[in-house]
Amino acid sequence: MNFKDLLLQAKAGSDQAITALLEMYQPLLIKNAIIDNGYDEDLHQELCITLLKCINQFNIER
Amino acid sequence: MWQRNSGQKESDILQNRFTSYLVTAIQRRKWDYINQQNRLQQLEVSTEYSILEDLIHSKKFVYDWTNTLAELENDSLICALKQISGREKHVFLGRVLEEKSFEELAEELGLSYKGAAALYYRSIKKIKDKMKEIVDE
Repeated sequence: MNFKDLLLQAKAGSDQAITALLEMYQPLLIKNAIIDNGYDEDLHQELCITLLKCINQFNIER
Repeated sequence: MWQRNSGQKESDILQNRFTSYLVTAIQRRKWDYINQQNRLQQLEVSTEYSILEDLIHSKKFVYDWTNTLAELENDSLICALKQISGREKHVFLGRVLEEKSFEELAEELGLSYKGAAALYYRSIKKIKDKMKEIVDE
């Protein structure tokens, strides 16, 4: 499945597609959840929420 | 499963666009989060107990900067300092605030003179980059 279809399905609310995207971007989220030399669980959670918001707000057609 | 993104196909371009959109959003969120934590920390500083506890738990050679950081008014600097490693922070603050020489810092960290100097300039560059990132947004 290509990325566009995945994103469209996620936007439509498919749990499977959203999970796939969340897993796909885990490394980025974890990397950014590190502050003061330590992994911050709460921040990671916040970033996961940010990803979900981004899925909804991102404009595919530009 | 996933093919390497060459940035050529329509879907790849879309993915790259989404990723950069996401990175910006994440960095903003992170920046807000760190600010939020700073505010909370400043409130907590007034309780003496936590300061004592911090001092007990802080390792010998890494000086406890929590209180010093709370006095800084420059939010983007605090944010940048939180994102660099402990060694880099130690060298940067040791040099700038305590006016230690590279020899002293090198000895503390078990590095050579050159190693300490390199670490110092690298941390300056990192801090500048981070601050620029924050200000640009």
